[in-house]
Amino acid sequence: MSADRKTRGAGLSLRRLAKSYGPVHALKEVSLDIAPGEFVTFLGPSGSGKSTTLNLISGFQDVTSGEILLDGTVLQDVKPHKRELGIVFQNYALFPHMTAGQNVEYSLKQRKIPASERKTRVRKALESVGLGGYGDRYPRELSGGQQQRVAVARALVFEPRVLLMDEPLGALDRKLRQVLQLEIKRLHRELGITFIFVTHDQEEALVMSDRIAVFNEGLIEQVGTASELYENPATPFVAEFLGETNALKGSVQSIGSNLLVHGATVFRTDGADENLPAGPAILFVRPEKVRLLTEAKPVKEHEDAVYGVVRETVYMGSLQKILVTNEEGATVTVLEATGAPLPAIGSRVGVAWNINEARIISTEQRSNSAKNDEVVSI
Amino acid sequence: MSTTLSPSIRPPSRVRKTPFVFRPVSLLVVPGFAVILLFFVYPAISILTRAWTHFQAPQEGGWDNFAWFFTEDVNITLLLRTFGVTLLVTVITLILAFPFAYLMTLVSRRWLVVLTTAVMLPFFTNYLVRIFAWVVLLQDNGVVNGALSAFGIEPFHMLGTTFAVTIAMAQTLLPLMILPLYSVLQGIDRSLLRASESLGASPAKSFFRIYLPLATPGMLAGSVLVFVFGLGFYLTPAILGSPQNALLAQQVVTQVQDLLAWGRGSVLALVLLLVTFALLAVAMRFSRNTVSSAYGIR
Repeated sequence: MSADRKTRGAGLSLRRLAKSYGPVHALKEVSLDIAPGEFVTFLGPSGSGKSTTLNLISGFQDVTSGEILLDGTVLQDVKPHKRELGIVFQNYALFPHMTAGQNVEYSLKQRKIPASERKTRVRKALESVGLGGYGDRYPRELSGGQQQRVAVARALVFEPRVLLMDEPLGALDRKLRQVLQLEIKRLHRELGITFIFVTHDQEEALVMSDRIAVFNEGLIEQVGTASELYENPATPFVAEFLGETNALKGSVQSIGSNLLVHGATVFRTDGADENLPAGPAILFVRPEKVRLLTEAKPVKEHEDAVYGVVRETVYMGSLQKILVTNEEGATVTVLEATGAPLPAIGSRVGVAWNINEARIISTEQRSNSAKNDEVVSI
Repeated sequence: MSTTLSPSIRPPSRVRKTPFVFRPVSLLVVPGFAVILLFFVYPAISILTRAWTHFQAPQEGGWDNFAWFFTEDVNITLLLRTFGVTLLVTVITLILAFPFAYLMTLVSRRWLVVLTTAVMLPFFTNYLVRIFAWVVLLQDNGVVNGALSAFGIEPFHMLGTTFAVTIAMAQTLLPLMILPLYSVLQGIDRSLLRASESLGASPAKSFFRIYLPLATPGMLAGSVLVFVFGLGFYLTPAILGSPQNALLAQQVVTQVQDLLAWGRGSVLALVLLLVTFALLAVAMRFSRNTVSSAYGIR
């Protein structure tokens, strides 16, 4: 993303992109600018439109309306096999009747590259994903992780300027996923090309991306860096989809008040949400920002607190979790380092957080202007 | 890069065969075996051995019946014609079946039922009825000639020709090509075609480089089925063909039924059987190679 990095990647722009199947709007309207060499993740639950967007970019589905621009030129009229985009498929889609080497070589053969050069490039591509001696193996003879690496090597060997990846790690176990996440990041750094990565796994998105576009119901809810989304979610959906969070429902009584009335309690924020409209809203605060009140450490001036009954305590190794339910029936989770004594289940406790850490989001607020003229889909 | 392969990267484990253990329930196969032994194996052996025990003058004994087969030119002609017609039928069914089976892999569940029924319907219709339906269609003043004359085309003679036998056999055997072919085609992951296109191959090229090689096991399985069944066809050539272009099965019937020459009939059947086995062995060998390469198995 940074301008000083010598990038070989292409920039990609989605302009009011939409896709519908008859009356069903799979993608309502999406606009996004991806800088050359950027690593952007499309994050969202299944059916949110993230894979549809990827399919429109790759050309396997036709655009209903809007534009896709690759370095300023219109892409949607180009046939899929002429788009020069590297694609890693969800199930890898390795050709079963070809060896790993032949799979990687395939794109070079299509481009009529001489045999001697093909051989060198295939070898280098396989080495770059750590599969040096595996060229003669058939996909059947490789593990899931190895197949995934072959798929990456195959998509990169013809030096595309954009690499699209559709949930490429979904079928792998957690440990292997973490290893491959870092390897994909390293490849991105080394190659300097644009990466678009689709996933429903928020942790994966946080680890890998320069920027994340959060998809929901055919729209982009918010685009930003991992920390922007985590610390400053624009919509309730983003707040709840990324990481764990506590949600306290209530209502804002008058416009711009920054106060949320929750049962008999009133919560404050530090004023960052000045233009809150009156009406139903939710206060979000991350569990790691909430602390258990003790006699030694009572509520401070800049803190808000909730009182309730300990419903459950969970020991998780380096961390421990305490679930407290208040009189309104809302549950607040406290996440703290192990060591402090866990309160007894059923005991009355108070929990508090710094008002800087809390964020009130109106449930009527719409982050994306496109949502206002959204067509109601069936 | 740091090539530290994590422990979870290892080759997939093979399925291990469990050794056979006798249980009383295994005895349930006995009645089936008994029926096969009594009503198929025994009669087949008893008929086929007549090649060495039944003789018609001038044959006297030993391998004379085999000598008769190879000295009578008509036998060789019939054998070659039978293989020729059956091969043609196999090629025709393959060409007709491929687009149909391909379509079956694309349509919705409901249309799949419709298409499958269309394939199976002839199977539920009496065999003779189907052949006589062809007679109605193909006879000199039949439906086909009627339709042709409507376009101003001179009617031509079809009944009693190899043409009539070939298309009727192809129609009868078509399901045997479509079904195994479909079962292979529907297992082909369509994202492979997308992958091929994303790597720069046109849709047509992707079809020939990726789809067709993966479809070969199905084409082979269907072809073997159609070919083996086709070799034994008797009623279709007997009714729709003519003695001038008879197939080998008709000669078996002539020898056994009309001339009571059991030995000669047995030799004809034996030769057909052996040549079929030989061809099957070649096909199996060939298909083992293509199947294993199509699925990356060594």
